Amino acid sequence: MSAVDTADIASAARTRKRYAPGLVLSAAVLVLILTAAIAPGLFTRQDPLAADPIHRLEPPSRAHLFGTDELGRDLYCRVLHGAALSLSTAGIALAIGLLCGTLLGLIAGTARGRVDDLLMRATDVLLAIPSLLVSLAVVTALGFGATKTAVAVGVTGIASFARITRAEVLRVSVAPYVEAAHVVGVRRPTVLMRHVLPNAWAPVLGFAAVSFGASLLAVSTLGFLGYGTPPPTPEWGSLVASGRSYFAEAWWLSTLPGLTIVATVLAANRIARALHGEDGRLPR
Amino acid sequence: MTLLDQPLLEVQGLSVCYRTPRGARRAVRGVDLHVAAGETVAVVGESGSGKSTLAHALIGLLPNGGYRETGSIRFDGADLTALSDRELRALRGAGIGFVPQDPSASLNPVRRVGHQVAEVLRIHGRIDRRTAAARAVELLDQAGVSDPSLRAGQYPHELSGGLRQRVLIAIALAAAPRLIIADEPTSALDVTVQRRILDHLEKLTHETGAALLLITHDLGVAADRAQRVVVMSGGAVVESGTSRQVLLEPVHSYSRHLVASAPSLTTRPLVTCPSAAERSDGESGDDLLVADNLVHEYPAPGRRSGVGLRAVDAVSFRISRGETFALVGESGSGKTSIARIVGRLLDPTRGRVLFDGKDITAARGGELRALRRRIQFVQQNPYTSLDPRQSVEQIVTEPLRAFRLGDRQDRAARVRTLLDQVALPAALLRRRPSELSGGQRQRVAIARALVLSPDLVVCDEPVSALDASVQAQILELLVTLQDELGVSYLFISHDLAVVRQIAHRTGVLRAGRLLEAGATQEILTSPANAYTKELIDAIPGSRALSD
Repeated sequence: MSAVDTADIASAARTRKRYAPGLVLSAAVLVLILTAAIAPGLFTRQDPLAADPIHRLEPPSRAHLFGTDELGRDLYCRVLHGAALSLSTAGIALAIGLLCGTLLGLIAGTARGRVDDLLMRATDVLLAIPSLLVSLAVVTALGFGATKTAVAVGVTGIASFARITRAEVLRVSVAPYVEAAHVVGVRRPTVLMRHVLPNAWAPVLGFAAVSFGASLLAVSTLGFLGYGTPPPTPEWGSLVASGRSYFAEAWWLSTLPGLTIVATVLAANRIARALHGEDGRLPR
Repeated sequence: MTLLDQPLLEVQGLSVCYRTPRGARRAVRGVDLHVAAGETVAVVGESGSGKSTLAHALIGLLPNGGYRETGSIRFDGADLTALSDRELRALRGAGIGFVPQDPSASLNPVRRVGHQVAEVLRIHGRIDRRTAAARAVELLDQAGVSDPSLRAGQYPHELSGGLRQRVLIAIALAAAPRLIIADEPTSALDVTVQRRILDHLEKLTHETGAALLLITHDLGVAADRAQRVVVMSGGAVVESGTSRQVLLEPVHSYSRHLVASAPSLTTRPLVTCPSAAERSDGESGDDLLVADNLVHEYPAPGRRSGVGLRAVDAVSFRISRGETFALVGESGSGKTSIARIVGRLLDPTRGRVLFDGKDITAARGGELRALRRRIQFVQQNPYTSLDPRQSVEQIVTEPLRAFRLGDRQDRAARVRTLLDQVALPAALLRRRPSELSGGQRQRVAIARALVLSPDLVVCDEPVSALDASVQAQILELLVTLQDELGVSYLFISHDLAVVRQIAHRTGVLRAGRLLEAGATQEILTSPANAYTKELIDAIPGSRALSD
């Protein structure tokens, strides 16, 4: 790098310091929502379950930022308290997909042959069915509840993660440095854990970041359809669903929780894209 | 060859920059260059010296992000920098022909090659489709393509690398340009092919009176082919003069260094060969490795049975302790297959490999692991042979960890000793491969191969991915380590110039067969085989030195 002019570097560094405004906004939104999920008490003193029949179905005001619902509960407070449940369910779903998918992909990519065929055809089947249908089938079989929703959504992610991991494992295992590790006498499982997996994981993790938004959306969908946590516990999807019947007189009941979901998904996707590298390449 | 007062191409103070995320990077800085009509000028430099950027700047085809900062380019009296895109297009091909670097990537894979030659004629000449096709065949013939009418109807993938390069030369010469810029026209080709292509290019430029600007990393090629040589380093011209001047009395320290390290120009071997009297090839008492009648066949693609390609055909050789045995051959000669068979990465179809008297051809499991301690491998490309996520220390200790040798302190001490032996500073221990230069990476790979104190190291083209000056250092290192540790090398190379510096004995491979084997000096001075002779003659630089 002897051919670099210092003045040019300095000016370039200045231009790079200015981040994209959309990214800054997304980060702010996500930080706010994560804080709400961890400590909702910071933003509101009210009880999400406390009914107040006198103030039922009040439009958004200074006292009730998101208005109140049919029982007079503060919607803003309910959305904040629902964040923890919705986000953690989405997170667990993602973790299930990531871990199982990576494991299956690793097995398929290293075992090859019949095991590979079997696993990959299984993922083909899983990918062929719309993921919402799979989730519905699983959650119907398992029963209702947050954890079961997470499993139902997580299962649909396994196929994609397995696919990507397998492709990466195949790419990395023919790399000369993997051959070099074999030549110096490293045992097979060690080569796999020390050389193949760390080098194959970057694109998989990138995809995981992108999947978080989709996972949250799927969890909310199941909540909306009534498969999530039973009322009165607040959950974003069920909040949207319960507001539906009052939509004509109280638009805010469905709209504001819905917009919260949209904002979170968009922010998560924007940040995932930044992590993934703006131009589609992975940061090394 | 007449030197006109006005040079055909005159470049003054040319600087070229690339836009990068970290600001503009200047790749060519203040280059002055002139080429007279009919003259051949070579631009020599190592990777990153800006020579290719210079070539592309001259024809106005800089890659994205590249732009001319200052300087003028005059061709035939006209200022190229003032021309519009349209005028430049008219000039390219007709005024200045360009032979690109990589013959495998530079032809359109879905068009017949005859069509691609004819395209140039139809763009630049007032010529109709039918005459263009006939003329294209003539041009292919001139460029040395055998069966030109047959080849014209073929697609690029049906041609060998050498033929493709000839097609590219035909394209460059099609519109009878007055200047041809050839950017590393032969560096992707085998030496014998390289020689034939360069001979032909020389003949053609001589016949048509075109000037040639030859961009190359190989000082030997430059000295052989050019009247004048321009040496570039770090984007700037450090020296220019006649070939003889630069070769025999280089002024600048960099060109002196380049001349000293060019393998093709050094005849001084780094090792002394045993004379025929000292060792007779019949003895077997001190043999470390014996390869006996090795055959390797690749199955025919698409068929379940049947013999496909025979990559290795009944090859036998032996390597003594502390000796370097080199296998030389061009691409497809089976040299890498042999290296992989010896390194137990590939099973031979037939034949045996004896290591220290034991048959290791079918070694598996524990036996194979024990063998790994004694036979090590240095791979061709140091840019891909080191795990990008590990530090130098982790890479070099890995073999020790694999065999559970020593505790943490012992290992750290051993790694430091080795780093010292391969002349790397201990400060590099914590670095990752991406922070090292190509030469440093190969030193790390060598350290990894030596950390278990093996008896035999198989080196598969260990220097072919490196610049000439780095090549020389790595070769010297290999020889020094051999003196210190008494290790044997099986040295695989396509480059006889490299082999003659390092190998005690040499075997010449062609199409899977071992044509001859013996002491390197004897092979070089009195080759028994015609092909060996051809290989020796193809070493660039021999012509310049013999004058």
